[in-house]
Amino acid sequence: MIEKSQKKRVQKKIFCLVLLAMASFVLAGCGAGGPQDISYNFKQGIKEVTFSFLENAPPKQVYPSSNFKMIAAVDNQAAYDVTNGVVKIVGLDARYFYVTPEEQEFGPLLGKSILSPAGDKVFLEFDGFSQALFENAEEYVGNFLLKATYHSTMDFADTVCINPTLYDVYSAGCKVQASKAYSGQGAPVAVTKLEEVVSPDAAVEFRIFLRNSGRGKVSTLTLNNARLGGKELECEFQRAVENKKSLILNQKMQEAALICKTLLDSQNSYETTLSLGFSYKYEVEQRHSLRLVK
Amino acid sequence: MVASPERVTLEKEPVKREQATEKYFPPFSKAGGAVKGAVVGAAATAGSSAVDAVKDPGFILFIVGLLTFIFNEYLNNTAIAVLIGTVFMFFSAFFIFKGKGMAVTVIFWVWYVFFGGVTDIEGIKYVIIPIVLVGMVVHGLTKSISKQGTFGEGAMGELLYGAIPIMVFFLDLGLLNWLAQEFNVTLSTSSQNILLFTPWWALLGLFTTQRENTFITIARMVGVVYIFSIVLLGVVPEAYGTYKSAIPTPEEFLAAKQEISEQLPARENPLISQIACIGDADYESCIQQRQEESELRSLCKKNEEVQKGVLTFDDCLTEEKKKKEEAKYLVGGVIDPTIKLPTKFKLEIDREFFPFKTYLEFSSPEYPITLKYENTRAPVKVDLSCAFVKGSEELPGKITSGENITLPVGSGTEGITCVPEGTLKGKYELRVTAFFKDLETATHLTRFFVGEKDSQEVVEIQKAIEKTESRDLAYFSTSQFPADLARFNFGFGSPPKNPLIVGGKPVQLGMSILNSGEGKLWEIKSYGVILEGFNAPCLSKSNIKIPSDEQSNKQIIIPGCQIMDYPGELKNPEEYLKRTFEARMVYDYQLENKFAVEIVGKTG
Repeated sequence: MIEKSQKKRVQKKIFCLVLLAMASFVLAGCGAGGPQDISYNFKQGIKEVTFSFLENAPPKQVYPSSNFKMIAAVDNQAAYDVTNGVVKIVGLDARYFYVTPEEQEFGPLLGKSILSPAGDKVFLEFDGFSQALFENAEEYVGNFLLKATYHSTMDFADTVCINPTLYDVYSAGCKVQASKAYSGQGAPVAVTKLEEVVSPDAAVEFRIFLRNSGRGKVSTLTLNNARLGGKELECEFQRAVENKKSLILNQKMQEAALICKTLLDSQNSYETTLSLGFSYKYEVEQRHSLRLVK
Repeated sequence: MVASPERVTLEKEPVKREQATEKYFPPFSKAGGAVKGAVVGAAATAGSSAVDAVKDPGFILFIVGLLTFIFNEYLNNTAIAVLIGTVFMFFSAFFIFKGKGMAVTVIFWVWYVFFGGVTDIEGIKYVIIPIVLVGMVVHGLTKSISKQGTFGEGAMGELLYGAIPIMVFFLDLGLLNWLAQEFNVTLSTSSQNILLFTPWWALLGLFTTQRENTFITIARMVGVVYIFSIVLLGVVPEAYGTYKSAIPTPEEFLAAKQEISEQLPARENPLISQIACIGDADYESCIQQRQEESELRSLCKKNEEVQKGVLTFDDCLTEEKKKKEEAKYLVGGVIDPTIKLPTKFKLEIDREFFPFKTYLEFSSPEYPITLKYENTRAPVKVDLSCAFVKGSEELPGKITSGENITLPVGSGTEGITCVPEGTLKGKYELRVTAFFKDLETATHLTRFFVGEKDSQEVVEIQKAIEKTESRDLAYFSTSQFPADLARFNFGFGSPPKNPLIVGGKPVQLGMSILNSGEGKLWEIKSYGVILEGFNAPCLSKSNIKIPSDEQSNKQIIIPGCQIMDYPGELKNPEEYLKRTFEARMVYDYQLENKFAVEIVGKTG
């Protein structure tokens, strides 16, 4: 009896294992080529400008006293245009490698849109020259940072319910969602949460939470415009010091909270659009190496 | 209403232990049966304990894992290593963790072995993660439907119990070795022990045994003692930190393991040292001595000259001990790891043909000595001399092969013949001296110029440098040089060992010379620190005669000075500027070697 039930358990386990293995193979077989963006709404998700070096530029190994090229590909995968871009090569030792120019500007790069669904790309060439190795050294590895900064924008828009009679017993009209979460607006900086607080004195407060979800850092974040329907909203960043509409973020704190308040004109409930426009300065650092061999 | 479980009636009464012993191990005779029964019972308990342990998958993994670890050197093959790791991984996932992490383990294995562990972020986000999540959900549902636990237990168990076999799989292949090699981490003693002496699968098996009995308890205690003994100092290697986009293949792991094992001298297992030193008055020193001696013995076993018979094992041990002593005198400065061919000189004899004893009846004394040179970077002038010493008496010899020679660039040997001037009889010490003229050595030092920055910015720049270089800034505090006979060491900054130069204020330059050879540093013909555009009064000097009583000193301090100014381009960079500076030194060096010889006079 006991043996039979044990056998059944083992059989069940084996069946589950086989099922899981089949499921993994099927799922691994599908989608192995990577996702394809078939959506027309580019302003969603977390997208950013990517930086990379082309294959063999720079080469995997460099020989002493030789020329080489470093070609950086700057690809704007975000849904917004990028301006004032600068790419710098930082940290190479001139005793071993000489690169010129050390920094280059790029931009404007168009963001992804219906007119430019693949985004925009530019290639920046840096000319390099290697010096001699030290004495009998077998090799030298020169580590450096590819440092890039650029300015871009991000737009947020969503339909919100304004219901001044929220606390009435029988409340007709739209339903106020106290908190909503978002997965990004097609930029590395994203609005992640929106909270709506309606006060009985016919005022509404929106708390917008933003976070850097990209691979770099946001150095400054500025609110360009805020509207509730056709009406301008008064907003300010928490922790902002002088200019309440602009915030300087540090490496450790890459989040921000924006508080917007307005008085309600109507006593009726209605749905309207909350739209916000931000601009930000973004910094990206990538570590690379050049190997000088005998 | 919940039905009560059906009562199961056993067909037979369970046999009591005493009856079992009686039944299966019948006593030889009734007389003394109590004693014999007790002995047999104890044996049966121990025997059944061992049999019980064998049924335990954890114990099986412990034994098999230990055996593969012991015979590891014969299994030096990537395919076999991956196969063994795979078998152990699935064995532990299925039998030890009861399939709780099976989905994650299977997915990992398919991804790593079949798809080569691609790390495309999009692939991971849109393929791997959903598969893992589906696996967790399925397992959670299976567990909750079969009423073996909650959904949460099933889902989280999938992740946790899948991660353990995967991590041990990587560790066994050589994850720590790869990390140490890839990030140029200098390994502490305990770290080396972890790399060389840890049987990962065996440990997993040992600590996941379900059964508790005498055999397993003892084995577990031994395992704990073993771990503590090899990780005695408990220092963890420096943080590795940097994100790498590619996950190494099994070949890369194993290659790293092989390379690290070859680099690290094979030392005695620390547990054996500890056992051997039990009872020694100075326990700690005894262990350290045994470890050091085993390290030197393994170095000498691999020594080419010992293998060829040119150098005896004992002489090699003596030399290696000397080198270890001298290394203690290296104050500041490290040997450049990228220079694998340092310049070396040696006066040696061929023990097979050297006439330790000469009979004047048959021949006149003639002593062949070899001057061996390696990796000279320029022609080297050498003045040779020899003498026969007996007590306070010193009788000159003559170098018949040429007292002034020039060694070419590269490596090779030069034969020297020394004959006594005059007739000698008895035991002497043949002293051969080689005086190398105008030997040149070079040193390099790296500094980071930060410019005028506030303290917060300096901290951020330091972090950026450490991230870029994948090492602590302290690595750059001292200069690096090839392992030549004498080495020039320098540093500048505030203080001289600080590699970050902040602002444009004057900084200090410190210098010293290290005598790393076995001979005497006779004279510094010249030295120069190449700092173009730097304003400092002590960057170079010539003709520094070393007093005779200091010629054998390991370190000679050269007076430093302040660098009052340096080039404008280095003073205020936007980020930071990394620069390497060199120094060169030309010196005369005297090397000596002594050999015991005997000249037997003519009879009659």
